[in-house]
Amino acid sequence: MKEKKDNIFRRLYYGLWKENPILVLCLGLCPTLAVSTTAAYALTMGAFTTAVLILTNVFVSALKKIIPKEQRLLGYLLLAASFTVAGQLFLKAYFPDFSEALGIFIPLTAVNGVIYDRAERCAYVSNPGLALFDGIGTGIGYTFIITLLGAIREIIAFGTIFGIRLIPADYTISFTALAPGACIILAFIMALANKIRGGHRS
Amino acid sequence: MTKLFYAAIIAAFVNNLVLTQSLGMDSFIRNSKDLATSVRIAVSVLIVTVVSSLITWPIGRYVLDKLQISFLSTILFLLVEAALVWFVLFVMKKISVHLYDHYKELLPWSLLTAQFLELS
Repeated sequence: MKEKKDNIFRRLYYGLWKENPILVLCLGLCPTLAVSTTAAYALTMGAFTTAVLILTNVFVSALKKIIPKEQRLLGYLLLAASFTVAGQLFLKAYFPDFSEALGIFIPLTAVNGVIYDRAERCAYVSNPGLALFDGIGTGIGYTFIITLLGAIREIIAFGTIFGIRLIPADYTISFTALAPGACIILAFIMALANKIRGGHRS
Repeated sequence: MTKLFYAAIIAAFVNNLVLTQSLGMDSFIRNSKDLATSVRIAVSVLIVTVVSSLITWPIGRYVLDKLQISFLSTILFLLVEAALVWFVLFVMKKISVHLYDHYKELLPWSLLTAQFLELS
């Protein structure tokens, strides 16, 4: 990809739609499916992942001369793990409820596939500015889909969205709060996105 | 002995990682296109999980808890596993090039999935 064509808007567009981490790359699915029981948890998880993703992208890109090519995975790992631990402590101090609810999936951000994909395919081969916007685009794309999934699951399972009641409690289907429900709804979202995109997944 | 047996049964069926806890979904979905690839990813995840649990448990129990630095567990366990993956790849390269070609893409994947066990 030529540097000239590879501009900021292109990066944002790719992250949000063309190479959306969940819909197209199928990465970072384990927090996506497990944490999105309610919209608020999903949004927190998305924001957390976005923050770690942006920081890792920028730092990998800035340090790409220092990180040896053979051991670059180790470099990404260390950077991502450091930011995850910092974020984990921050969340524990200021949002203890969310930290408690998200549990194991907060430290698991350090091994989220999205971060490694972006570090390998974008940050390691481009300048920090571009990596920043790539991180923002991909992060927003991730957050949007996980929050959408969380909102749909919350409406069907609990009849609420961000805690505001839409459907009476007697008419809810609690199935979607479980893991299989998440898989099925995510499949519907993916199918819809592929339909809009027209034809086969690239 | 029965306790160990129960632990294995619970881990395999009741708390099945993929089906009930939806952990490790990335490699599960991306690499299960055909049977051969699935078996390979399963083997690599198995190796990494078993060996890294053996190594990280004493580290967590005796080093991190003693020194009260358990907030470093994520970084330390990741490092141990990364080192382990490199080591397994190195051994495979020595034993057979064919095997190495098959697994060099997949072992890093297992690195991204196998972490949860040690953390929990």
